[in-house]
Amino acid sequence: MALSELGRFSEPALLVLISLADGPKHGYAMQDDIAALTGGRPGPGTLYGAVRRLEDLGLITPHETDDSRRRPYELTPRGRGQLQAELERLRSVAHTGLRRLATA
Amino acid sequence: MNARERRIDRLRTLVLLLYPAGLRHRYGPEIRALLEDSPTPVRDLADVARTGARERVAAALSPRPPRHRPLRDRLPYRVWRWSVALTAMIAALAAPWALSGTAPWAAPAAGIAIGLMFTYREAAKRRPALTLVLMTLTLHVPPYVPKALSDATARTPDVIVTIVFGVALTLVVPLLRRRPGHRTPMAAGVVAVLALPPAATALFASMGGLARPWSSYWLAMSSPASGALTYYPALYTCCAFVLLAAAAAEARRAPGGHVTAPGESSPPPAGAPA
Repeated sequence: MALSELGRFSEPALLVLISLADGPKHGYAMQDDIAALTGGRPGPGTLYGAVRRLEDLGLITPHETDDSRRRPYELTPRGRGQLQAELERLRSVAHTGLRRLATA
Repeated sequence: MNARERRIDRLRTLVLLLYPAGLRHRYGPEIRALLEDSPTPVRDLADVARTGARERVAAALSPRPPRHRPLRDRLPYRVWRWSVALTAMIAALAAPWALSGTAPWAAPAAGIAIGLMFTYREAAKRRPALTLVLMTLTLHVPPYVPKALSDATARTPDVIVTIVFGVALTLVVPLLRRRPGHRTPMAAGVVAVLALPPAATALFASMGGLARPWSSYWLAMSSPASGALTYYPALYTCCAFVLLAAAAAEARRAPGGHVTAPGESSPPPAGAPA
C-alpha cells in the first residue's frame, strides 16, 4: 500500500517515517523533529492518526517500554524500504518539475 | 492543580472520549501527554477533537466486529478492570460469612480461578498495582478451601497463607521496579499492607483493654484453634485494595508516573526518547 492511499494522513505519515529514519522517537520528539523539518508542528491527533496507520501497515513498530505516555517508535525494515521508495519517487517528481521550470 | 487546570484537564478528557475505546486505550496516554505539554493548547485540542471525531465516525461505519470478539475488547478498559477487581474483592469479603454456613466451596474456587487468571493477564501487561491487588485476592481466598472442605476451624491455613503472602509481595517488588514512577509509593503500599493488620488488631485489642495490644495479632495468629478470627484475610484484602489504589494514584502524580487511561493526569514528557 502506498502512502498516498492514507488520504489526509499521507503527508504526516511520510513526515513520521522521515522523522524515524535516524532512530526511534516518541511522539513528543517526533513533533519537535517534524517542526524543525517543516516549520509546522503537527497536532497530537494528526500525529497519532498517522502513527496508527503506519503501525497498522507494519511500517513502524512501538518499542517495548514501561511508560505508556512516552512510547518510542521505530521503522521496520518494510517501513525503511517504503520510505526509500517514496523519497526516490518524490526526488524524481521534484527533478522533473525543476527541469521543466528551467527550460520554460 | 487549581480550578483552571482542572477544567483544562477535564476538557482533555472529554476530547479524548471522542476516540473509539480501543484507540483511546492504545494511544490515549500518549496523546494526553502531548496535550499537557502543548505550546498551542487550543489548536492541539481542536486537532485531537477533529481527529477523534473522524476516527469515531470511521469506526461506526466500519463492519461490526465478529461476535466471538473477547468481552474485554468491547468494554472500556477502566470499567473492565475495576469491575473485575471489585467483584473479586466482594467475593473475598463475602467468603467468611458464606462459608460459616453450608460451605459453598464453589465461591472460593471461583475466586481463585478469577484471581489467578487476571493476575496472570495483568502481570503480562506489567500493571503492578492491579497485579498486586489481584495477587492479594488470590492468596487470601485459598484458606477458605480447606475450611470449606473439612469444616476445620484451626488457624494453620491462615498462618501459612500469611507467610506466602509476605513472600509473594517480596517477589513482586522487582516487578514494581520496572516502573520508576511506581517504586516509592508502591513499596510504601507493600509495607503498609503488611503493617496494617497488626496495627488494626492492636487498636482493637487496646480498645478492649488487653494488657499487651501490640502482641495480640501474633498471639492470635499462632493460636492453634481460633475459629472466630476468619476476618483476617478479609481485613488484609480491604487494606491491600485501599492502600494500593491510593499508592497507584500517588504514583500517577509522581514524575514519570504511568497513566493507564484518559482522565488521569500526570506530568508532560521530556523531549528525548526513552
